Amino acid sequence: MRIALDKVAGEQVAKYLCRIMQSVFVLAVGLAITACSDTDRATDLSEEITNKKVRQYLLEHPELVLDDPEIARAISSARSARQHQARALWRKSILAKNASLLDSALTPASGDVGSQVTIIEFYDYQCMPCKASYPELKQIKKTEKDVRIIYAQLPVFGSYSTLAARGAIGAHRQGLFQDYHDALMTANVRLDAGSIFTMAADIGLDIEKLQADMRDPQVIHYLEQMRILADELDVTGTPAFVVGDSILRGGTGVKELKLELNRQRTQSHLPSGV
Amino acid sequence: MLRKYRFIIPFIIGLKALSVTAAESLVIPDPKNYPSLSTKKMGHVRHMINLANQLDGDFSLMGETDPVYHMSFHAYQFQIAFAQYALASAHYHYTPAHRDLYQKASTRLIQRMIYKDVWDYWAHVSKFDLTDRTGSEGGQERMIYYTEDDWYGWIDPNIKKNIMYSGHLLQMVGLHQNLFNDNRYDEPGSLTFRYAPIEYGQGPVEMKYDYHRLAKVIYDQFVEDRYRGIECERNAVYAECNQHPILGLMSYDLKNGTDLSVKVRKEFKKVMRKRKYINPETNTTMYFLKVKEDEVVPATYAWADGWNGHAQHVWDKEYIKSIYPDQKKRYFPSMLRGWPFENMGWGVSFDFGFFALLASEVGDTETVQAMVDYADEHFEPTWKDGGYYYPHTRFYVYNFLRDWLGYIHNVGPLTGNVLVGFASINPKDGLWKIYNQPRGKSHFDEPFITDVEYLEANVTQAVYAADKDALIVTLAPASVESEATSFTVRQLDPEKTYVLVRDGQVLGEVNRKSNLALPNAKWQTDGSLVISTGLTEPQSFILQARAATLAAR
Repeated sequence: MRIALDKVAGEQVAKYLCRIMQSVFVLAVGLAITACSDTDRATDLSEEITNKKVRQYLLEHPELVLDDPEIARAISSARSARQHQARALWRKSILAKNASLLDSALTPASGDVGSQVTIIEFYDYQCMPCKASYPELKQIKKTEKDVRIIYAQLPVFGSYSTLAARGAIGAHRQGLFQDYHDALMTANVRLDAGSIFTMAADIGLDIEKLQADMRDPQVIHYLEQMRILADELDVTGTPAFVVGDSILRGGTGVKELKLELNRQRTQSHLPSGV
Repeated sequence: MLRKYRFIIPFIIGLKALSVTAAESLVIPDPKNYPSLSTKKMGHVRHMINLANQLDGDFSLMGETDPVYHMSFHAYQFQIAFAQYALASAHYHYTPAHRDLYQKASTRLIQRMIYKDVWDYWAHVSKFDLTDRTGSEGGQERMIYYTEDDWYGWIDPNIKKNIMYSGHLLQMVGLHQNLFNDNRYDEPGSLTFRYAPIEYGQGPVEMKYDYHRLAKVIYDQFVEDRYRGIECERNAVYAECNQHPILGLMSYDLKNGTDLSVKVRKEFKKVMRKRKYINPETNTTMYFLKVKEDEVVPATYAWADGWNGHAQHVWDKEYIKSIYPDQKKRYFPSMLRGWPFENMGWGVSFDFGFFALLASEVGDTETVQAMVDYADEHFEPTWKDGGYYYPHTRFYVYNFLRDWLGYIHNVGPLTGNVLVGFASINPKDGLWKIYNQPRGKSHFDEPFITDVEYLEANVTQAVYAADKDALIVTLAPASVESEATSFTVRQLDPEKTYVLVRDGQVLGEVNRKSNLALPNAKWQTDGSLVISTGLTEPQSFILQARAATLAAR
């Protein structure tokens, strides 16, 4: 009798455990799917996973989660996806707060303001990975439609980098940013005052006006603001490419940029709040 | 043509004569009578500012993290903190009337200090008791002594122990608030630590501090530890580590009218004496106190004496002065030259840097000069972007040998980037004066300069001499040569007429109220005066109130 009872009880326990395991599985899948930003489904599933019994069981047997590498992985990836999403939102809010700086008349940019995705490149004219990434970004500019590129000066390699950055803003005021940018980015010489002004003269910049613009407190303040924006975005080296709400750090190629652009485009088709 | 201006000409001549007469009778202060930064000292200042201006994640020129301990005396936190103290000394003693450059650099250094790469070593280091460093593997020391409870370590770098970090942060914030009358760190969360380690699989953690909370956390630990000092590493109290929070609390008291530092100094001194943190027989500072074993580990390290002494001198001047000659006798002769290929041990670079700093603070200018000259000769001094420093040697973490002539070449990043420069800048009682003769409130109402073009001009001297009602400013060319540069003078009295003097030559007079200006000195709508000048060589400017010049006569 006892054996029979135990058997029945055992079957019930087994069924119960089976249901719990299903729920745990659902939990892992749910978290993973949440990470993929499918809010509606995640909400449905989260209703399932708040099932009191599952919760209670997990509280009593946390090792079930800890010891199962698949579940642990799922939870970890869900967590990192959430963190990623939180960082993206935080980045978006910083960019929104600094919209006037990014759209300022002093900010050189290509593409339309209303483009689907914006790339902000923080760079220095003496940074080798920046120079290496230059043709890659040019390629993107040529082939990718509906992309706006903002050239954000972040001079970090000393006085001549600062001088070149000011020069670039001065050139932008004279409508010759792209030419000057190209000259500086492809220059095979060490930057100094001589080379900075020679390149400027070679592309036809009015040197007197350029020098006056380079001293303009507005330009100096603008560069300081750009530096503060880089700080806020946690840019810790050059180059850094803010692509939509994501960031790519260091020298970056066409492939990575395209991948991120596509991700951003897909994302921008999703309902807001995702 | 001349007929048209016939009435004006005598008037101009008359004015000219008046100005000459006035100039002849003026008693203009001589810039040479005020401290100024030499070219090399300015280079050191500039190098430290350049370090401050690096991006938060850029530690180039600052060495590498120790692969075993994850931190060492070369660590970023010490370089950043001592750079701020050095800049504070430069600002206080040479350029008190030039704030914005130093204030920005100080803010940047504090920002760098709270960047996670600087302090997250603690999550690792807090796991271990490092006081018994006998474990070794393949000739390398290794950490084998896990402490009982904290496999994961402590993430918050301030909350407990780790005074080797939090003490410096407190001192930095205190200096900043007092030197620049800038209370930004009073704001809750103004010192926010963000930690998001992927390796722990945890969510991001934020630890919010401000000046008050930081001071309280540290003060409470002093009390809790019965003033024997707060642990730096686990189980190890270093005397020198505890000097920095004491200076931090002194600044805090000054700003907030509290007396937290008074009791701490008194009681800490008692413990120091009782437990012989500085051995009265040898006059040398202990290595550390092992807390659990309650054992003082004695030492004779120049770095320990230099580090502890330069800071303790701020609040215990006579005592430090009294033991300095013994310390000098012990270390100095062998510091510059010794036996060829002698192994000087891991502390060789710190010995040099910290002892030079102590020598500067106690006013042993001869020794400082000898050490700075030695560094200039043997430490491969380098100019980089207007900054002057001694690059760390390639093998600074393991090659401590003298060369075949008996000279030391080992330079670590702390000594090369900061300490030697700090010693050369810091005058006698340099830090003592900052804490014991703080600038009064009136200092912030005096005339001062701003908006000096960092690329083009170095301010080697900027002081307002209240007794002469004169602002004395000396500029020198900086890294980018400029034919013309400018600076702005603020808080001039609009009622007063000021005489503008350049390199001893009277240029004329300016007066805000009557809008009296000069071709190279123009009033702005906000009441400031912009002075423009060519700058191919150093130039001194003096703006002296007319009443004062006459009175001085």
